Amino acid sequence: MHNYFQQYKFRGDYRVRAVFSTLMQTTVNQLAGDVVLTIPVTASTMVTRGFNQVTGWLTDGLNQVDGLATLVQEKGVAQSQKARQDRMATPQPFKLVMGTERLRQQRVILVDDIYTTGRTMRHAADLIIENGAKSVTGLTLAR
Amino acid sequence: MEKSALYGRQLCLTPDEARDLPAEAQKMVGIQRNGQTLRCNRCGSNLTATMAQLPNQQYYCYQCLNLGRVSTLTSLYHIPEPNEFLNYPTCSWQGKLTSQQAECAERVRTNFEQRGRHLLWAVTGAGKTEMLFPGLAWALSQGLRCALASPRVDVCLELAPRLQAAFQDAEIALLHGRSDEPYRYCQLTICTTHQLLRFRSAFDVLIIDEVDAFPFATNPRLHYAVNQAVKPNGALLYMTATPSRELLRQVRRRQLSISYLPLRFHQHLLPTIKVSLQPHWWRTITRGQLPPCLRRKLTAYAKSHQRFLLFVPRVAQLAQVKAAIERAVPTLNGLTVHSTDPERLEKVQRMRDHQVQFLVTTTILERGVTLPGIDVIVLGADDSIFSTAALVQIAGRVGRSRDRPDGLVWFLCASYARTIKNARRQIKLVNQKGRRLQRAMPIVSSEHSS
Ligand SMILES: [Zn+2]
Repeated sequence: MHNYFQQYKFRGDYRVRAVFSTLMQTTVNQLAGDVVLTIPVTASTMVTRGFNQVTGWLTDGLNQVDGLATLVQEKGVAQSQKARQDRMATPQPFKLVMGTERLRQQRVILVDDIYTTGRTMRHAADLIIENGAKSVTGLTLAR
Repeated sequence: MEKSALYGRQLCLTPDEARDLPAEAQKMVGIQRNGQTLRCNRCGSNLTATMAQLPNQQYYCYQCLNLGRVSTLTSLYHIPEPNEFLNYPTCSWQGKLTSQQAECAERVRTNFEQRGRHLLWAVTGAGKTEMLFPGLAWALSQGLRCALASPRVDVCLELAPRLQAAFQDAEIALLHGRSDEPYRYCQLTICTTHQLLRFRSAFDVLIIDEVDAFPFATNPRLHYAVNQAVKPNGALLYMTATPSRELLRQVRRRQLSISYLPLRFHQHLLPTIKVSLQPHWWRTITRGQLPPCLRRKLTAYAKSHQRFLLFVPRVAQLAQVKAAIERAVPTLNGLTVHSTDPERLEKVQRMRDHQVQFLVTTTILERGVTLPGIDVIVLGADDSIFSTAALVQIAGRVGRSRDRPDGLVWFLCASYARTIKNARRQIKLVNQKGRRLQRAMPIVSSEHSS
């Protein structure tokens, strides 16, 4: 799994999204939420890497996911560059860019790549619940 | 970034990384879009759009990823090679070339002077590296930028100290994928052929050692890299003990000139290959036994203390072969070693130090490892894992010592495969040339003394 993420995220080999796209898409669809949200990458990652690794799994393939949207991250530092201590202490890094009416009373599926401390997921889930969602279910590929 | 870090290079940088570059830096797009076709400007690969795509109509090269990703989000940066070297190094090598080596060395030097493309076909153990010294000494004294590249990291690692010893005042950059050292602009570079993808019109003299070793032989991007890295009017020298058909074709078309060194440094011929058909060798081993002919040979080795290498096709076979040897001839003391063995270097060192009498190994020891006075046995030499070039190289492990210039090269196999036939034919051909040279030797040396 380490080698996979090395190839996918750090070398930027977007082709290998296909390795897990069917699994991720099938799982998301089985969870049967109303809205699917992915954890974002920073704007500078979008410029250098050119893709969000989570969105990459969900966007094309046989079991395409409907209602896919991405949160926005405000801070510039990538999660993987922070020590665990820092990460636990970080303030809410996300911002909602969609209208809150899309979340009200909805069951939200929240997707990320790796679960380490759970802080990222919790921040994002807090934000979604605060904006009126009925429930949030987290899904990550690896932990 | 230092200006010199871009001399003759093509570095792939994001706009952010490229912000503080010197003004002379030339910028090239990373991926050339031409209607429907996409082409990587670093490695020259034509890309399939569906594979190369990123979100938002961006594209990347999936062929040379391990050198850092080239994409439409990045550019390549380059400053033309200015040959800005302060002190030209001199050759401090004190050794002496044999008359044939000297003759080849002269051809090499002439080729550098004439900026030609040349193939040096020298048998394993001919002393290729030493034959480069006169030509390199000339090129360095002229302020030319030189590089020696090999497909294999271990060859680079072995060459670096030898070149440093021969050119003591030279600064040498050693570049390969496993190195963490930062890049330095030097007049002399030793690198893997992969690293050549980071150069553009850099070298006046470019030498490719072991040109027929994997992965160079099978990888068109590395051929592209060679032609990119050498200056358009630069000299190119290929060296090999086992030229591919493609190289020999270029010789026939006169795109390459050629010189031969069919004799080894001690003036002897290559050992010939003995072949025994043993269709059930592996089944015998899996029963914990050795084929009788092999048992007899190894029993003799136990008495004579003759050291040997035993090659097998697959890593998974190593342990069983060693177990069968230990059972049949308990007084023999040996080790197994393979390419990803973490103790590989230590084990080879123990063999060098005469602490063990034999190694059971896979192809990894075929090149660049010199163990004087050994015999070589190959089990399953007909397995497709052994190419013709690999078999010739394996045979070339034998007879590397002045004291014991010949020795046994013995293939045990289920069938007389095409690769084995070709390996024997190559050795026969070189030995024919060698014999001719041996007969002519008194004349050759008198020519040189006059
Ligand atoms: Zn490329």
